[in-house]
Amino acid sequence: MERLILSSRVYQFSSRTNETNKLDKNNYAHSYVRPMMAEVVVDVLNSALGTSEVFAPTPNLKAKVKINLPSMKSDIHAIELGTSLVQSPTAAYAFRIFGRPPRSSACDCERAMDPALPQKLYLMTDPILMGKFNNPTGRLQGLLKSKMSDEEILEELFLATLSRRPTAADRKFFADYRQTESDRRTVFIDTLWALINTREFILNH
Amino acid sequence: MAVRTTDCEGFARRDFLKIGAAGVFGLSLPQILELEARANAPAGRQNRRADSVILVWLAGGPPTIDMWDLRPNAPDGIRGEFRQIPTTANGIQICEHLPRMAQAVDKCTIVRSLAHTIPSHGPATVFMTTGNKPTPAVNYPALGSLATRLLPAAAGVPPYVTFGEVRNGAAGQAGYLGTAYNPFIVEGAAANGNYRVRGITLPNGFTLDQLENRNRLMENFDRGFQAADRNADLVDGLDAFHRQALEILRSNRTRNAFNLNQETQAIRQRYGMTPIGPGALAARRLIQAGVRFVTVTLGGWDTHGQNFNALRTRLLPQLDQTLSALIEDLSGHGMLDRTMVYCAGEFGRTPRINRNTGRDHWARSMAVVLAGGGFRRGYAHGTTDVQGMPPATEPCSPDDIAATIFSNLGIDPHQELMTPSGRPIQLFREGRVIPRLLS
Repeated sequence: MERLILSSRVYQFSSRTNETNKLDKNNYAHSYVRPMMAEVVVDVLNSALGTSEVFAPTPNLKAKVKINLPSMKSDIHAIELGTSLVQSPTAAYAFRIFGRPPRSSACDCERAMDPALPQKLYLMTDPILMGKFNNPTGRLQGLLKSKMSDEEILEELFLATLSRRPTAADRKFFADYRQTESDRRTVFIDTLWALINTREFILNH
Repeated sequence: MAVRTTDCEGFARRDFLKIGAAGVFGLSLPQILELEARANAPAGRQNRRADSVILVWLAGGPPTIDMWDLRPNAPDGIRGEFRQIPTTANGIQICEHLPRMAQAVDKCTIVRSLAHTIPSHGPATVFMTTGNKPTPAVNYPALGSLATRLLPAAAGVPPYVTFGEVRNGAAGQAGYLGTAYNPFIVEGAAANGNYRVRGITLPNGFTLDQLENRNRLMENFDRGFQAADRNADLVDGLDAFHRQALEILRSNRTRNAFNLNQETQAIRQRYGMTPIGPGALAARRLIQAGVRFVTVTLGGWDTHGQNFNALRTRLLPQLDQTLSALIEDLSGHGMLDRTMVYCAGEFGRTPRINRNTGRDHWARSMAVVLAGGGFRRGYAHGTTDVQGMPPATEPCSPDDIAATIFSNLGIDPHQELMTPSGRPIQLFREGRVIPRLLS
């Protein structure tokens, strides 16, 4: 099956544009930049920041019967969780502003995939999200505590957020910024903030 | 709170004990420029008699036959328990339990001949708040979303704000216009009459300087993305929202608008500590800051039982205090000429009183109150017959009201907008401007 797909003609097509399809908007003439679904955004943020989300508190059950709710799994993806099972108000807020449908109508169109200002403000100022930068078990704090150099930490952060290594230009910007700010922790918090607020982070491309 | 939080269809109004934050709104840069061009065009500016709207939404279907259009000559079982009192407008009388509104009627138009055919909460709310009859085929945008789409936005404030979601978010939304035109929802009652709104202020320990630094770093990192192939609308939209977010965070306007401590105790008492008191005062401040459309909601009007008790003891005193305060305050600030106030619910209530001393749903005749903008002052439009049944003279429908409101905003109600699937839709296809409502 894998061989069938990998050797097919369609798979050989490039996702990049060429002169003839650069302006096309229909029929997936080339790979389009797409926004991410709400559930994916929440997961991606947690993954980049090295934190996990508690979608619902574990029920304090005295029942003799063992009950396994999906929300009790510690490594659950948001997309696996039904809307009605989410009880955490912070998660619910993030889902709402990123367009997760409340399932009040039976229409696919209910999912809002457009960018919107609440989303931007959330990524910029949400106190709980900002708090995750300082989470002692989170990615950033772990990197700061390790013996890695500035360059190496920068690379790790880029890989965790943008799935790529920093370019020469990125390294230069960072180096310049590093000169202006003496506190190491602040520099990296600022860098991580900057990374999750890029369009590159929030778009699927 | 002792108020009922569900209506008869089992629908639960969001409990006002939660404090939360809201959405924000934006337009893409090309759209902003296009709007400004259109809005500043000579024709547009000439016809524009108002810049903004405050919608006072009475959720549940208020018994307008006991409020704005009493039938004192109707037989028992229809007439109701309230008497009429004269108002500051010649020849217009309203309910005795709205004494302060009676002083303000000289600034208002009361439309008594509004009628539609949908006596169910959800669809009727959609009809009233979008100005279009609900249909499964199209998700019509709310009036506020349309206003945002078609009016120029002021910098540093969200253009459309809602205090308390209308039907938990099922109404008041942007429909086919897309999430960019959704309202900024302010959840939660004001604590001590103050609002804490999430998202519009920097959290503790995050200074404006830091924001600028981080922003610069971010722009540098993101520079490479610009070169890559991209969907122009999507990426431009993000840029525009980013800019708007920064403006809101940098400027004090939104934050100050919500800070009711800047008002005197006297004015805050005048608006009252009712469920809409602080919201209405904040609405006035938001309009001053440049917001275009604000919705404040007051629920509990679904009086299938004990109608008169509920009205007399709770609903009418609250509405009377706050709505009259709002109109007088707008007038006092010189804002009433450019700001429209629209007080309505999804339908009226039956002329015939039921077994539980209540009234049931009735869309076939209802009343709404309009003030400000280009609306006539001290005018009652249309009549219903003695028994309160369908309008006797000058019937009109919710889309006519919407068309009239938008024509006051300088917007052609038959203008076409494009849905994402490429279908052109008129704003209010069936709605006709009602010239007699305008001065």
